[in-house]
Amino acid sequence: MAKYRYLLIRSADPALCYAQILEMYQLTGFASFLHPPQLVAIYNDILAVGVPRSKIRAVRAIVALLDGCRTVKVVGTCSRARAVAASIRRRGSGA
Amino acid sequence: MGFVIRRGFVEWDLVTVLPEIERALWEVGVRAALLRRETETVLLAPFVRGVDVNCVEVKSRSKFNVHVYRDDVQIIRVSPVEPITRDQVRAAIKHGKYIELPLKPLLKDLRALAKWLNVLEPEVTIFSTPVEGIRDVKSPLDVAALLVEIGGDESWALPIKGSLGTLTELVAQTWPSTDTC
Repeated sequence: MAKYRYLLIRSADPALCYAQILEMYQLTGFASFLHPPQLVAIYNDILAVGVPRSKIRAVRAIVALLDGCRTVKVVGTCSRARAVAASIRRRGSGA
Repeated sequence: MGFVIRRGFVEWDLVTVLPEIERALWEVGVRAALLRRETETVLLAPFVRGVDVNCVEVKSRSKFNVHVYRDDVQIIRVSPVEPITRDQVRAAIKHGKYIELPLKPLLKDLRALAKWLNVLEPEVTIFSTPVEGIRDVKSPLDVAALLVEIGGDESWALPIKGSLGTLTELVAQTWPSTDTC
């Protein structure tokens, strides 16, 4: 059982951002087949996604390549991710 | 904003100063910024190019040698399209100059970025993302992760993580000359 960490990513279009992360996720190595990323929530402009702890650097590198996306926080549990995402989201125009 | 501040980062090239851009930068951990001209900021500690820190911009590789020997220059901003040579980096180390590399076009061209990381040394490099709009805001830790993955060396995170220390050191060098009290 791989331990997961949860990235909170702010993006103008979080759904597109998640699709792009999925597209490039295999860059993290063979373990990407065993431990796929877990989508936790999309709240307005925040994407909460869980990735194995050992792959966090690779996923953050992928996020750096995406236009208009930035990791604002990393949390340890799924419920915490949902709570923080709900509290830092911005309604309206986004980004 | 509910975030724990452990360490701050520096945005080395903030072009457009707007409250929402500052808020976005603050959220990713940026605490100080280098501005093109004197502007009022709301959240970030402002430092101005040419006033607090002496910078020059070199358009091509050959112009680099003119500035590397000058005493009043602290940061040499290079053009990302043309990587400088290893000897030029060594000269910069010897004369205590920082090399500023704008990341913006390089994030689209990772082969060029890898070429740059081959010649540069982490301790004299400054990575700036020219921030012109809200979409240009990148998390410094994301960029550090990318640099470590591309450069293949843990030490590439240092220019990002130690950026606040670097800025303090650069400003401390210029302030005694302008301070009158």
